[in-house]
Amino acid sequence: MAQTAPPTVTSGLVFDIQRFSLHDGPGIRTTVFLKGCPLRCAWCHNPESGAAMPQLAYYAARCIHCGSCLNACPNGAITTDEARVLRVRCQSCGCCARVCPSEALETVGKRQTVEEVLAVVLRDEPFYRTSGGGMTLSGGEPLFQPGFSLALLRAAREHGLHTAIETCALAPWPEIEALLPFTNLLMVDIKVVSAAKHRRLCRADNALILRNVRRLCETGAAILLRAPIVPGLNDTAQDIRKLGDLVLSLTGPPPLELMPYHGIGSGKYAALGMDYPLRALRSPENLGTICERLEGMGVRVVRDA
Amino acid sequence: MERCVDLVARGGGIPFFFNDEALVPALVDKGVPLEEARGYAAIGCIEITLPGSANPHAVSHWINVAKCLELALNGGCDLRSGERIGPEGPCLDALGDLEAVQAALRVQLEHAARWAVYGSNAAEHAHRFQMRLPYLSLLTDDCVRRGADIVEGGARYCYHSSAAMGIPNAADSLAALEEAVFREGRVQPAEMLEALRTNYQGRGDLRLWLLRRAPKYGNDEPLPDRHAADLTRLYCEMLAGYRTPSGGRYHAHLFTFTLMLPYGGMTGATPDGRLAGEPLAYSVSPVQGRDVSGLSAVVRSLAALPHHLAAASSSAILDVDPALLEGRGRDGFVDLLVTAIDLGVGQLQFNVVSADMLRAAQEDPERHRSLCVRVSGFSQQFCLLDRTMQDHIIARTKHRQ
Repeated sequence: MAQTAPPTVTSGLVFDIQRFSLHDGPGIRTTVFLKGCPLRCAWCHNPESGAAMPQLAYYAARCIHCGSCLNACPNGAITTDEARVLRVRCQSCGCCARVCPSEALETVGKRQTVEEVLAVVLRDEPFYRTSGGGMTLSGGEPLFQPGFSLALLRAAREHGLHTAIETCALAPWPEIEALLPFTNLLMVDIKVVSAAKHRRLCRADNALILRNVRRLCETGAAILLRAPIVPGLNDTAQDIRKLGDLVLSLTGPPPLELMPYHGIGSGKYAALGMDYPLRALRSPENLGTICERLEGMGVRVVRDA
Repeated sequence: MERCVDLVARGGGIPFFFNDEALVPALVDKGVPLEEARGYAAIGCIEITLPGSANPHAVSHWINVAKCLELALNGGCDLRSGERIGPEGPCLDALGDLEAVQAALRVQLEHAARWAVYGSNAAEHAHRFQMRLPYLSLLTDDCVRRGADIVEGGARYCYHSSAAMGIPNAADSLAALEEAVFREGRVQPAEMLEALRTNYQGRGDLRLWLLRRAPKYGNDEPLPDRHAADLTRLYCEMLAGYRTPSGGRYHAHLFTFTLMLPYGGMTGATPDGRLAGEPLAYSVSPVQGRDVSGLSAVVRSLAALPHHLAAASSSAILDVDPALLEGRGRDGFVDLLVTAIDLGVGQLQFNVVSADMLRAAQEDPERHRSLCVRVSGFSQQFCLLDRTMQDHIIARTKHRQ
């Protein structure tokens, strides 16, 4: 079957809109987080972004044990025991979250229209004008909702905004290509270069990713590569050498930014009833060395000045 | 501006930012010629005066808008003591709709303003008999020419300054009432009134819903921001109608100094989920801990207020986590300030501290003696503040990424 550009859709699943973002592209930005991702990286700090449907989160520390949720649930999925939510019964309908007074129960992911998202994004237009900022699509994976992403980027462009996306590039090429006319900057993740390791750590193959990255660089689009550095998982000398070799083999080659692992998202796993095997992991201490090694190979490494 | 932000980032210096674009038009609106308005200066904290040509009343009186709302909801009586201190009127359970609540608030506010002005004018009369200021009069324009002491109206500008307290709390409260009582019917007016009278005893669920789920000023939310703007405009316009014994004007002043603590102590439970006695917000800053949508949203909320009507200045302190100002954050911060000025925000001050730093200083004051914070219009060593003020500053949102 021939692959074609995605049809434009008017609404999508959004799990957060973060204003005053300073690290998702140039200037002051609003980052729109889209739900759904084809990867399941072991270190993911947005575990709520993976599933392409609304999910119920329960933050035990906020609960005041008022019992409002017990009556509200039409599926009998709320219990009085510690976990509060019987995941097998929960339909993520949000009835309990609506009555929860303390925000202990929250529905993550809401269907929003392009107009609704843009209305929030445009509130900070004066800040974009001063700072050269704009809108960034992140996730999850924006390309998991290609039609919605396209519609958002196009609408933002129509309002004269600078647009950027953060992507893992795991999508059919025509879907990526369709976004290019409406995207000023693509921030593309290179998680692991070794195919076997990528399958193990991210639960997907990276052949299509690498092919897409190569092709993207050939289009001359503005690209910033980003590599997460996770201690003990993808930071061996061999990993770094392969990363450097890959970057240098690309047309351009584009600059590379290193993203040190942090455990900030670990609390969210428990809230979603998910297991988090990396609990004991610390942030990398050898980032400077890795930077120098890559620069020694001739890679242009971006450092946060 | 970049050098200013570097100073902010270092902490310790803690500069103010005054916005000519808001303050000069505010003075012109009160009858000061443009050329003279441009020469304004700050007195002690953030109070605006015209140096050398005005009788510099920093603050003539304080009016607690949150308390006025308390009285409006409880028929003119104090929620806790039941004592009548405002004009008699219906209670919340008989008010019917939000417009009636706003009208009742207006009645209480007018009553408070009339007494506040009466007191300030009486004090000015008393000064003529007991506190003449010949030396200051010699140094102030027009006193010599008119042959009148500064307290007799010799100065070219004889304004008083009327400081408003608790507008953010009152705005959050009106938004909560509008949303929970009058729009959704989540709680009946009588039930709400009872919860306020009993300081939410046994109604922790309702209180938390009001506190966490009702929209709050400081997040660029249309509902509370509109209430904050309406209340501010009402206050400024109400005070603009009064005159001093020398024929001078009353300048609205959106400033609490450090009195959001004692005035909060005198204010009963409010419909925004605040318990009786808890501190009010600092000046027009969002209520401590409630601005959770990022700095641009706070600036948007601040910009919703009519700063150009507050001739004695408006004030806001925003607390920023030091990590936000690192690296690229510094440029973002410069752009934030420039945009705030473009949007007409009157005045801004910043604390660059984290809650952890402040808690550490509370635990071990000896080792943190040099830690300075912006308290109100002034800075002080954190360890020298009393515990209530320390807790208030810790409770303010520390904006970060």
